[in-house]
Amino acid sequence: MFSRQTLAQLAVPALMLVIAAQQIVRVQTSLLNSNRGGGFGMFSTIDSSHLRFLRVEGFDAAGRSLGSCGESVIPDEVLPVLHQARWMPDEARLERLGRAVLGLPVEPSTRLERVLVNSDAKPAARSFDRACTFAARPERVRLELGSVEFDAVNHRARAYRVTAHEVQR
Amino acid sequence: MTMRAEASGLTLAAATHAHAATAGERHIVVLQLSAVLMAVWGTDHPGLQGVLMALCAVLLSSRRLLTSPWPWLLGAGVLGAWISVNSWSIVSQHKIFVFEWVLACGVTLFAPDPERALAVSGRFLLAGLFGLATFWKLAGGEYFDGGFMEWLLLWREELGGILSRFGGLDAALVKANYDAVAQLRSAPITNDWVAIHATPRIDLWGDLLSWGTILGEGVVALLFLAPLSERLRPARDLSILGFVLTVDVAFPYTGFAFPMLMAGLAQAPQRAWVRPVYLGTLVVHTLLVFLIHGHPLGRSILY
Repeated sequence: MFSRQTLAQLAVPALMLVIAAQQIVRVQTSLLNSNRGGGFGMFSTIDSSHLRFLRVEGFDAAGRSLGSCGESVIPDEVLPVLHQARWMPDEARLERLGRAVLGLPVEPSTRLERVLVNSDAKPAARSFDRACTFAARPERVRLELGSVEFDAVNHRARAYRVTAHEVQR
Repeated sequence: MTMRAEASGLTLAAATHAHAATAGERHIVVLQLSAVLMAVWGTDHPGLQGVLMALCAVLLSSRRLLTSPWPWLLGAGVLGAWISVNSWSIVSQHKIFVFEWVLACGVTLFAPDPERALAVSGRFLLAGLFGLATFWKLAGGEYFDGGFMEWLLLWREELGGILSRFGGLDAALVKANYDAVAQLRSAPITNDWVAIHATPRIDLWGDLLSWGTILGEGVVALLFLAPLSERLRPARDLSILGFVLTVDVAFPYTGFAFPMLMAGLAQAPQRAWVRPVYLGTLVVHTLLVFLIHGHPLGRSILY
């Protein structure tokens, strides 16, 4: 039906459209940020990883709040997960972060992941955050991933919650 | 008369031969530069980058291997595996574009006319890139009221000096905006609005830049998508070169200019000016980005 010439020259542009189509669907049906996923939505929204932030609130066994902290409570070993969660804050990633904060064993990554994932997560990922600890050892943590919205007409901005997840010890 | 015809026949043959040689040479140059692109910008992983550097050295040392699809498919396989393991949801878009370009370099070498195949692939990859970028800017809705660009002007500290000078916003208010955003990101989420200081001039800049971006990227997409006559085809080159030397210099998205220029060079018409202009643009872009942003490879200003 198609000549070898046609197939060879159109195969990769067609693949690009397939990748972009799945990205468009995933942005609509999951929490994937439009800046990622191969759909070339960069510079389309201010909601980027630089503006996204994580708040972690600890609770004791009685459900009393032990305070709310920023990203400084996230242990170094799961910083790559924090970086990933900013772009795609799915439940699995937030669960891993919550377990790490509680000092619970975090589901180990696969061997291939350990070899290949060097991650874009840099220490600068903790910008805008001060060292923070909870008043006591938390039994439960609630993670909220937030971002910032800008109202250009009224010149105002606010933080809003993108998603939240709770992890019990 | 006969001698004249023979002479013109020889001239034609020589010209055709020269044209073919030039054409082949340009394909080789595109492949050689793409091998460098793959090694330098393909991945951030030091180990894999070493593998790709070795592959690049092999490709540059042997023309037979450079024009064989298999080493390219190997390179694309390495990049694809790295992206998959890191997750397609997380990896930067330009890495995915580099992967697609390296794959195109390999797949088009299966074609009976690989140079023409790479030209068509390059053209449609650029059409797809700019078409999708325009689609998301329209779909996101943050460009209609100039909000995205206004925010970029107001929020990025690198642009603070420009903002004070050309936007008419007092330096103290520029800093107050940064502090307000920092406070929003470090305090518990309350959904309360805080004031952001701006001026009518910054509003105007936001509108102009927003609509200018949509219009500019949309036009680039259309130029690459539409079937143009031979006379109009250089408009494609002008648009991509203009984009790289203006928007990508002002807001460099690390490593994006290189694959765009490779795809542009591959699809450009067979003219003597094409190769030096594209290679010169690559050099000038790198120098400008270094002078303006202090980093030769450019930094992602927003991401």
